[in-house]
Amino acid sequence: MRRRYTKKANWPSKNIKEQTSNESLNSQLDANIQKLKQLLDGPNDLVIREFLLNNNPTMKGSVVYMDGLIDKQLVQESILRNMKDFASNKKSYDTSKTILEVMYENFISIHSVEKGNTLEDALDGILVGKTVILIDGQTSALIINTKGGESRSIDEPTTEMVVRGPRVGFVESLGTNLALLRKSLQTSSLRFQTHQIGRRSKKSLVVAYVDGVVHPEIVKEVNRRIQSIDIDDAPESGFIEQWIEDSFLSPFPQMDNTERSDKASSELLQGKVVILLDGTPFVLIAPFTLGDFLKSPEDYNERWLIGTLLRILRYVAAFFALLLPSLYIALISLHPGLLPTDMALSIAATREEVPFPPVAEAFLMVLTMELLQEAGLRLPAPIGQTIGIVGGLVIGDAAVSAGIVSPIMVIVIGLTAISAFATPSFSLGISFRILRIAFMLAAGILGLFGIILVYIMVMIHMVNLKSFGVPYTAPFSPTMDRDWKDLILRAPMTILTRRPNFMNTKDVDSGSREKE
Amino acid sequence: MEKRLFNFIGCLLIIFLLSGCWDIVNIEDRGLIIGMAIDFAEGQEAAENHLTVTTQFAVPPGLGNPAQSGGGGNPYMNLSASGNSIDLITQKIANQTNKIPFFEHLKVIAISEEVASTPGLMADVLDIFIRNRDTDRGIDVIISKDKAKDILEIEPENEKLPTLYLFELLEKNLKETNKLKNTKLGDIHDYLLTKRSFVLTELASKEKLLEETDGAIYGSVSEKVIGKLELNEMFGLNLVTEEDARGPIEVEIEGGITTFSIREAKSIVNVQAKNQENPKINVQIKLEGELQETFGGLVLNDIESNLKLEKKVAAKTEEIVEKTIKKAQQEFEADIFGFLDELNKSDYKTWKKMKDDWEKGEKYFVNSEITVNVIAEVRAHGVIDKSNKK
Repeated sequence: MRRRYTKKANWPSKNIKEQTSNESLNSQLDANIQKLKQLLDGPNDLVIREFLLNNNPTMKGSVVYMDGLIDKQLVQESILRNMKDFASNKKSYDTSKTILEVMYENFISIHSVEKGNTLEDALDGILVGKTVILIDGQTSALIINTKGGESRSIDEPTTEMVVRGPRVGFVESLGTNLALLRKSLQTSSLRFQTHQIGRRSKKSLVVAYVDGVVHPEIVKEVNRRIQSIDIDDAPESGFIEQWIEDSFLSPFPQMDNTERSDKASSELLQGKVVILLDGTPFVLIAPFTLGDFLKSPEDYNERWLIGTLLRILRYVAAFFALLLPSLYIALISLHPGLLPTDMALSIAATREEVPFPPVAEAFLMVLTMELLQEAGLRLPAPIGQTIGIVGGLVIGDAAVSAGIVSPIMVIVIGLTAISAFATPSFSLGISFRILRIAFMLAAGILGLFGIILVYIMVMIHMVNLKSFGVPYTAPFSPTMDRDWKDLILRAPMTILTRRPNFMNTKDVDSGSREKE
Repeated sequence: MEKRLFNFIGCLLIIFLLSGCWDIVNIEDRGLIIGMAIDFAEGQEAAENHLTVTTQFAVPPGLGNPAQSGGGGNPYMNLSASGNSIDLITQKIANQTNKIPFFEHLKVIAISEEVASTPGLMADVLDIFIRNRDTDRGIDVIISKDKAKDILEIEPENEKLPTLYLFELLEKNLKETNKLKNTKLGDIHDYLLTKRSFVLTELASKEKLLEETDGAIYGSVSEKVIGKLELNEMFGLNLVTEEDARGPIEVEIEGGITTFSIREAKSIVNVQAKNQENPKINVQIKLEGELQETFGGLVLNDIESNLKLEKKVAAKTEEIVEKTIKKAQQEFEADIFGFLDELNKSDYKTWKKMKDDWEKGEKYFVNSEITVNVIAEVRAHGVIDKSNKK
């Protein structure tokens, strides 16, 4: 029985690639239709509508499209109705032109029409929602852009809420996203470069940048890396990110993703490149540095004092999220002499009945916290609340009164979790979560010395890391003090008149203090 | 790539395995020693042993935990053992408890006057605390008039741990009145090395309460505690030595007692030793403060009464300081003010010639001529401008 399943004798051992048909179109309409049907295995949603030209039974034509991918109204109004007119029209046309050219010039009232000569062109067009018109006796086809189908309306992204700022987020449609980007960045130098990604599922990918601002080498490098992508399908921009990032071993994210069009456009003006993929609202922003990850678009929307305060708060939160549990372990287990006496006494009193050493206690609590976070994430909102309440009660109260953990540990873990959520980027938060565990292990074995060792390791890695040629720790190191105006501090708007130095932008000034 | 990864993991393992976690002792497993008392051994033990050491362990659950109401039990335990060296005695004490003695929170060391009055012994018993890396230099050292153990058994009303009470008493309350000195272990280390005399706080307890406090003078010549300073004399000492001395000065003016409280004090010591036989030392003290309380009819709304008060305060302060200086110079022949250090700073060559004969031998200190000048300024007289007399 088992043998039958594992036997692979009948399967060809050779790797079989996807069938492609780069043969050119046949002059026989029926042959072309047959071939298309055969390649797609005659699916139900393939619509083939045949018609006669000039009521001449020998002049046959077909309109082919995928039901559901097209804009039905557009096809109805602009193709099928015109086709009917064309068929019943007795007027004579310039005979020097082929019938396709005549149709193209006179009857198709859609802006984007192209000619295709191979079956492959036709097939790819059909699969992305284009409408193909085949005419008997012609070896080329009209491929009309009638992309449509269901799409979501534009609303505020739930992953990046702001108190003050535009309530616009990207959607799953590439065309809409490009339009959104154009809307929020109205400049003639905004450039879009299109790529096709995917072996089996061909997706459009657009590299957007502002010409004259961005450093040309960065665009070149982004394009080179994107061209190297060779995968079946890219359902999300995360696939692209992982293909083109500098170091896949690094715990740190080297590109940011956002759903906010205002963030994307402001990053474009900082000399960055935005990568948009069809089918996902998350766009990638590259190159991205550590300092950028700790900025939030809202810092600029509020007055500078508030922005500065929030930035400082965020840096403190980053250190808390990384180091707090490990510092607790180190101080309690190995260096109680560093605590103030009163604090040492009160911690010792609360820990008297706890059965686990601080390392085990901390790992237990961190594990619980991660579990709660993960469980709450996937659940629908009403049930998610239940998880929160149960988790809060279990961790906060029951575990303490049962004597499994000490109340101070609960404070430490609670503060750590809150601090981790205070980092604006979810992906950076995850890398902090990973590193936190390394810090805790080191603290449990070597105390403060271990924390310092791991810290040095992380630092060495970080200063080595680059994101598309830009040092990850810039402008801290290499030191570019001019950029420090907009790093931990957020200087007043009137002073922020230069684009970041470390991005090496072509156009250096983004404004001046006095208008000339 | 694989090789690099292997090497990396190897290095990581070596770091962790070789250094190991040998010094992990969780906070609840440590016996937090907060106070120690050193006495001579008594009774039967005296025959074989020299010293008795009492250590005060904090018992955290006894301190009461806000989360778990009650707690109960004694917040501290005092364990004693006898022996000939402090280290051996602490080992003996460790055998009496289930916790590992931990010295990093040691706050106060009390030495009985008896021990401190034995030549050389005080430096010897403090040696381990100065030498050990666990004990820090901020430990307060005090002298106990009777048995030092009794000091660790006082029962203050507002504080559960006697040692912390003593520590805070020395740190906080007496900064305000400047009648005690919180001499730190680190300072004593300095003094012992530079062979300087100094003053410690001396406390006495009676029936589990602090009874009287004064100062004990440690003489560098005889290497023991040689005498006492009264509280008022301690104040005189602090006016000369402390950076920021504070406290009240009582003067009699216009038929009533008036209290002047110091807000800012500055002392400048000038040592002239051109003539070695008769060095001239000048102490200049500048006081600034305010009129705190008056029983007479003093109102400070004209310059004259202000000047009058200032003069009175200056005279009174001079009196206090001179009394202290006289006692130290004539009675104990101990330079507790650190005049020799001032000479070191101002005139190194002379200092080099004189330093060995300052307190002993030629006794330059005893022969020196010390003058005290006090300038007092009254800055304010409170928020009233009338008194019951006028």
